[in-house]
Amino acid sequence: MVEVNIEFLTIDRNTRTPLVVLKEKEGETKRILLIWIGESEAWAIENQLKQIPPQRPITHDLLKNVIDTFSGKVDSVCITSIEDSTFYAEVTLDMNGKKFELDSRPSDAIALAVRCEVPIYVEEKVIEENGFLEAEVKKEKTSQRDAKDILENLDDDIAKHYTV
Amino acid sequence: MTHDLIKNIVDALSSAVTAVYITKMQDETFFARLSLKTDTQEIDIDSRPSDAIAIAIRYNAPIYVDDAVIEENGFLEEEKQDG
Repeated sequence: MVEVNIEFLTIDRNTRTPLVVLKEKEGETKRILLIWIGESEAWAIENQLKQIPPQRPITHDLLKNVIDTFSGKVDSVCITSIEDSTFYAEVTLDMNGKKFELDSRPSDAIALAVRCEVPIYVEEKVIEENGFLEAEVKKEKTSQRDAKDILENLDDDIAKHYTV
Repeated sequence: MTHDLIKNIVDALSSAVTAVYITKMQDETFFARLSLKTDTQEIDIDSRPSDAIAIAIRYNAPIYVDDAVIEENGFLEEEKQDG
């Protein structure tokens, strides 16, 4: 299991689908994992990252409020597997010392993780088989300075593989 | 879906949503709350009506609207048809 950070969110130019870019936190060669998500989940992640206070609690705020109300605590979330091009995740809850692992979509898990400020993990096998190195997706250009360029230059073969 | 995850969490907490209430309207925004029940307590949680309704249908829980809210913002079916 490796810990990842949310590198950024963007829109896949081919599918017009929001995309969250996760990047390995530790290690010399940090691998990247792309996960295509729904619009409202992208919005839920983005707003929280930008610390935009919602006028009314949106669905993921409600999710956190439910957990808080019961004095629960989210320990972490983890992207656990991929099946038929769909990623699966788990939310680990701690209720008075009792641990629960709940099946979740990665987008919901991530939207919850940013609200609870808990780590996001990816199973080693998942990132090993589906992640790639930053360098792999950059074309041979020298103008790329930051990670935002990655998506602009996403290799078509890789994009096709990940397209949902 | 996110609302299924909420239900799974509520279930994991040995709780259940017993009803949802559309409680008020303010600046053209409806407010709602979820009523949850555990073995020992009843808890209300602030929610948007859309989330409350999405969760209510997962529990077959009744959806209530405050009298004043429906009185001031509701209309009769016939009125709508005439319009």
